[in-house]
Amino acid sequence: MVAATGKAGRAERGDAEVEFERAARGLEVLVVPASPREGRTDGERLEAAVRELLADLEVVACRVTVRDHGAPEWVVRARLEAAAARAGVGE
Amino acid sequence: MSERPTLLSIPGDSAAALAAGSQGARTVVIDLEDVPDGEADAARLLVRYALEHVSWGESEVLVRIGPMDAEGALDMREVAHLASGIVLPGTTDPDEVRAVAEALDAVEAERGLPRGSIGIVPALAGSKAVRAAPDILAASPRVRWLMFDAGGGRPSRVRRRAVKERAGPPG
Repeated sequence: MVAATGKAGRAERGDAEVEFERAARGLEVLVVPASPREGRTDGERLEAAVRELLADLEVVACRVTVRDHGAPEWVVRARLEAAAARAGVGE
Repeated sequence: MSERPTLLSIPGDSAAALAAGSQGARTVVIDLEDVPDGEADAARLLVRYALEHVSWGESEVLVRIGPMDAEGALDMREVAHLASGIVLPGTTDPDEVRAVAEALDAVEAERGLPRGSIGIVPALAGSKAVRAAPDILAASPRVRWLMFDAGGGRPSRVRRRAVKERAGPPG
């Protein structure tokens, strides 16, 4: 059975916890910033990166939550791709 | 880059350690073998992105893949083309090296890389492997150097699990 949600990433500095949830329609992206101890979050840039990867993955409806712990953009992309795959995207 | 032979081992499931790059080490080994249960898929993706986005300078970057009868084949297909080569864990026999060398032929053909460009560093496990070291070294032109894996180091999760399974339930 394909899971409707997938999660990837750790609550560690330099990482991001990403939750991917299938939805009936629309894209919803929520970026929760890092604590000041973990670095800065550029929410707009991360959201743009998430939307770009979702387009590459041909996902048109989902809800994505990124809990950023000061992760570089490529980490967020890697975690999102893993979370989406765990939710059955691309199968 | 360090003039001394330096080897930095990086856990493949640690975003922060991967983001820190080679730190001037001559050789970097990114470990995909010893990742927590259920995390091999996410670690493989993380390593793929790290190899694409982190600056590794002139370091030789090797990926220690999972066992070939488990995650290793996937690791090889997804990330080997982005690295200088792979570390083949638990090698005991030259035939294992030959089989992996053949599989790398296919990876290189698929990725448009020159044949033989992805190296192999067999990690020798046990006394049998040490005795076979000259044959393992000669098993393929891909073999760059040998790593001695037996004893001393922390046993991998996979190996610990295998030992546990062989031992059977307690009591």
